[in-house]
Amino acid sequence: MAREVRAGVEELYDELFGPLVRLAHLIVLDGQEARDVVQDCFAGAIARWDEIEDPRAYLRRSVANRSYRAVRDRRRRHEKAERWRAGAPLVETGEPDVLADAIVALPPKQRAVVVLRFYVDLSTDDIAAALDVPRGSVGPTLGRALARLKQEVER
Amino acid sequence: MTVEESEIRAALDRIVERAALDEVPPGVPEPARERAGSRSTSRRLLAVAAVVALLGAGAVVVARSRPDDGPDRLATVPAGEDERGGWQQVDDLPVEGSPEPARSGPARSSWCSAGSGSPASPTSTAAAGASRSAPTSPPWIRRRGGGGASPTSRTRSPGVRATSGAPWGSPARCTCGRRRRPGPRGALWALAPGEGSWRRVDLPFSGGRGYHLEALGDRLALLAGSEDAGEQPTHAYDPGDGTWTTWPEDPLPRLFDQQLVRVGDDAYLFGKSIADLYGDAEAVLLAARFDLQAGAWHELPPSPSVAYRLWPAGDGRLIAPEPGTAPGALDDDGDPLPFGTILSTATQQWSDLPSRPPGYESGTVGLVGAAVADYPAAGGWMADVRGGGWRWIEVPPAPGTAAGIRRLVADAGGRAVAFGAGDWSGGEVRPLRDVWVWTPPDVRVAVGVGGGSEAIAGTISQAEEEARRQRATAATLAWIEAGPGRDDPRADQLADEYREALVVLDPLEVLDDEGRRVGYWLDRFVTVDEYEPLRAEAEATIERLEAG
Repeated sequence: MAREVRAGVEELYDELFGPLVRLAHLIVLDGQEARDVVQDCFAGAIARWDEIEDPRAYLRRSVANRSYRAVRDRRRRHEKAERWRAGAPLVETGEPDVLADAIVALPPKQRAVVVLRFYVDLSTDDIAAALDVPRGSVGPTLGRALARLKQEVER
Repeated sequence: MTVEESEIRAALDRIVERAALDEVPPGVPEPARERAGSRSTSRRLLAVAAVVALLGAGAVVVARSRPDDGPDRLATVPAGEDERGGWQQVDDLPVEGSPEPARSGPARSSWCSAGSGSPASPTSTAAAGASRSAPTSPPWIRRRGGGGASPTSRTRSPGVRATSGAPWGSPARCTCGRRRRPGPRGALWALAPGEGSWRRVDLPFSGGRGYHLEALGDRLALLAGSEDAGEQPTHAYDPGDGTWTTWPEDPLPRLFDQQLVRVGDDAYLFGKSIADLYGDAEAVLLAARFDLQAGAWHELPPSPSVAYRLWPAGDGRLIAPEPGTAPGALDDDGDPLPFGTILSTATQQWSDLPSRPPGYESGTVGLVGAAVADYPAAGGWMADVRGGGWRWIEVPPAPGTAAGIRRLVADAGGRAVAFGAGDWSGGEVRPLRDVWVWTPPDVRVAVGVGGGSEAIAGTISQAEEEARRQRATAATLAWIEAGPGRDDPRADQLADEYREALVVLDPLEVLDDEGRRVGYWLDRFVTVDEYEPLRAEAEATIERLEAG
């Protein structure tokens, strides 16, 4: 890799690593796994850096997609399943945070759509592309997620 | 009361804040070089594959670690076979590629609908032959009899988007649902391959409704949508006389993730209750059988699983091939609910999948050897419905693209076709048109070494080979339990892994290196003398298992 390209990669890596880890964490709900996802996405992107027109958009989509695939493919480790089963919140809080817990407890696809819509502000088309799902499924998924959140908050 | 967007944004921020994430970046990673696939799971599988390969040569050898000297081919059997197992690239799709390819088809042939995602785009179909012999010529057949590379106006559908396509009837016709303007919603268009032109099929209702299309052999079914209000019966279309039949209401609650599959003279309806979408309980798979001759529904017991989609194995079984259990999903007894399941249509009973593959944690799971199946996959564990075990199969990436793109893998009559998907690396999607066909080879075991321990590049074999593998695995287990292998420090671990890989119904003969029968593998090794008193009991057990 040319020196100037390498410098550009390093600069972008330092800038985007934190925000992308936060994005990945909201979907995979695991700090270390989120870091791994971002590392893997960068490794994949660096291998084809010259072909990527907009690295920021590419990496954001790549991280969202890889994170969603991770949870969709049930890459839950055993201890995480145990925590779900026990009904304990995955986020340790000092006081009850009903809405945050409800978001954490959403099924992976619903949570990923909520995160991409409200945390990353993606359009429906971009969400569908990022998650590799049919465009027509984004709206209904978001609707179900919001209905579920409303139900939890009203409980 | 509603949940405001601003509240959701704030809650998301709190989730991130309270996770106390480590955002200090480690060193810039090296560019990715490895192909898709879990190296760790491959390593685990190697132990079995290496021993199987070596046992086939008449030896019993324990796989050994090697120095960390980088990738190095250890053995390929038979020599000269390609690394991708049974995959062979054939002609590109004769139509536009699609990032969302669709496929459906009867056993032993694979019909693939492609087409771009834009309205009024060319849409066509192609068929892959499904003979068991290796393809000697490109298998794609233009359905109008031509051999050109691009669709012509005669096979362009009238402005439809192939979001729900299904071949049906004999000779096969392809139907696509009309989903976009112009024109009324809810139209169907049929392509008769022999005629090479489209014709409209009138629907038994007016207006747009949430139906989706299922091919049921010689007829077509419009399955009632799940999330629209009002009663919506299922309709079936008979192309022979061009008539629609309205089915009686099914006995299940309103469903999501619906599926309708034909097996013999029955259609099986699967889905999950919409009520469970919003409840605390995990949605288990519900099922009902529709007798096509009598026109009557029969409700089946609910599946003890959260399976998403079942595929016909061709022997009366319907299989959802995902191992593992759903996080947080418990049955009434508090036990975890599995992802996968098997329905025997002969006995109408559900049963569990074989034990998960050794080392399996998660990842893509599909079927090989099924009558009909399709799933997006970049590679991974596949349930071999003929051999009864699991195989690691890597789906070839499109030329010029990175590994890991999930292609549509369509099984048909023991062969599989991988195609479709989109390459997003350029910022915009590039629909892929390359096509790969997988054919079960006679014997194909490739073993590689690297990274300090062994990794397998691919193991694919026929059913006969699978039986031999099972016997060899049983022999290895016997060697561990009753032979010199019991002194190996890794014997316990190896035995555990081998037991996981072994799916046994019949007692397996255990032969020594000179081919003499020394005993049997049941759920443990027994000598010939020990087996004789157990024979009657073992045979009775087998009969019970085979009867479901």
